[in-house]
Amino acid sequence: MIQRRTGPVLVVDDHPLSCRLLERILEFEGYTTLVASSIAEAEMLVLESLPSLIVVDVRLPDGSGLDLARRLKLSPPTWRCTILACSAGATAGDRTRALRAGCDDYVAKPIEIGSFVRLVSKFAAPDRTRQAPAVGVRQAPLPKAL
Amino acid sequence: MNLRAWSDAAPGTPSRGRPWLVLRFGGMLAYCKRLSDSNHELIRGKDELRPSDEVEHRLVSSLSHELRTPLNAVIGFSELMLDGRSGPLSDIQHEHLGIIHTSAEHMLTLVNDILDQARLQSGHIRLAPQPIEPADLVAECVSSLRQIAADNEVTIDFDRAPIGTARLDPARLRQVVLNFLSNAIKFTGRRGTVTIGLMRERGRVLLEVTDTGPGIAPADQERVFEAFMSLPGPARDGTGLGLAVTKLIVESQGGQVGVRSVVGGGSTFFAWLPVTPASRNEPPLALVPTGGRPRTRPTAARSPRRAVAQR
Repeated sequence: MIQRRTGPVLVVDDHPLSCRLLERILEFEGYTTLVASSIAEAEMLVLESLPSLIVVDVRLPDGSGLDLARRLKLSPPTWRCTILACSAGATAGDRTRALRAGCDDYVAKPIEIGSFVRLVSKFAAPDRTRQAPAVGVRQAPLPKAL
Repeated sequence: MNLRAWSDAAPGTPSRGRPWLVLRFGGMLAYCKRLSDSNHELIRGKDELRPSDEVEHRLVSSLSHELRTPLNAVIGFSELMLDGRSGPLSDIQHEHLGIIHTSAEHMLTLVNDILDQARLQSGHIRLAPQPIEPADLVAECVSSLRQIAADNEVTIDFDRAPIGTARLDPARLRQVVLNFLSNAIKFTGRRGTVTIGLMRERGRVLLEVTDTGPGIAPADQERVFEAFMSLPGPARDGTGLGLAVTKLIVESQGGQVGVRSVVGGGSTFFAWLPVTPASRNEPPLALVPTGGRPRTRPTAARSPRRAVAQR
């Protein structure tokens, strides 16, 4: 049984719209999110706020997200972090490489929101106290995970 | 043929007689040789000009990557809006957004089909046969398309009697069944019936999908498995690659596809696949429905055989 952890979810993606999408989905589900657009930025944020879950793109401007995953999984303060690789690569090879690098799972883009949310909720518990972002006239979010 | 007569009759012949005939004949032979040489050069040149399957595969892979990134945003944000999470929508907004979402999904299918075709042609898809019960897999495909069939008022007729565990690649077989089935649903028309036949004979599995659609003219039957072949008639919303990819998948497993059809009398698409029976102590794998249920650890991680060749 996997222990669901609390804490922010870190999204590492250099494509601004992919980042925004993941951020919105997670916020609608009641998670607090942090965003990084490079490995350097991600490493800083990881040490600062020890996220419960990291969603990492594979192709990043300063290297491979998989190398970041490998490093985080090997270093003592971060090895417990759940890491999901998220990339536009769609082959079984892409998935295999991500899992071999130590990622806990692989999500192919375009992401399927329903299964992505179910996957995230398996590893991380939403931060219930957090208020949903005010977007238009949207009603309060119903965290599906709970 | 009378060469002498030909030689004599040819205009511009400087003289007549046997030596000239021999020379002329020799010249003809030399000319034929030159023609054949240049022909070979042309054929070689054509092969050099055509990008190799490997180059094409790399090109298509990066294209697929580049297209998926914007599609991620289009599909994702339209889904968030359709869910009503981004605020209430009027009926007409909902309808228009639905069209955007469906079109983006359609484009994704096209990208996937193109990627599959390039990978199959360059041998980048390695088969991962596992002991499965084909009838279970077909039943699973039927249930995943039941809603689409109901929307089109099409009845799917399938008797899911087990045909015995066989070693087949479930992902590829699923692709074949889904392609045949969705094609049949699309072409059979309202109040039609799609019948699926599944049987096993002499070390092979035969899958037949019969529709009650308009049928295909004999001249077109040979071309339906070609890429981007569209049959005369109203435009369909297919990618034009489904059957071409199906053919590649089946043939890469040493099987064969085909179609039998009578104009006005429906069509039967069939595929047979060679199988090896699973050994006694190899129970069939439980087939996990692909309806978006996340899998924490796919079998790919455990079995090196499933590792698809690196790009």
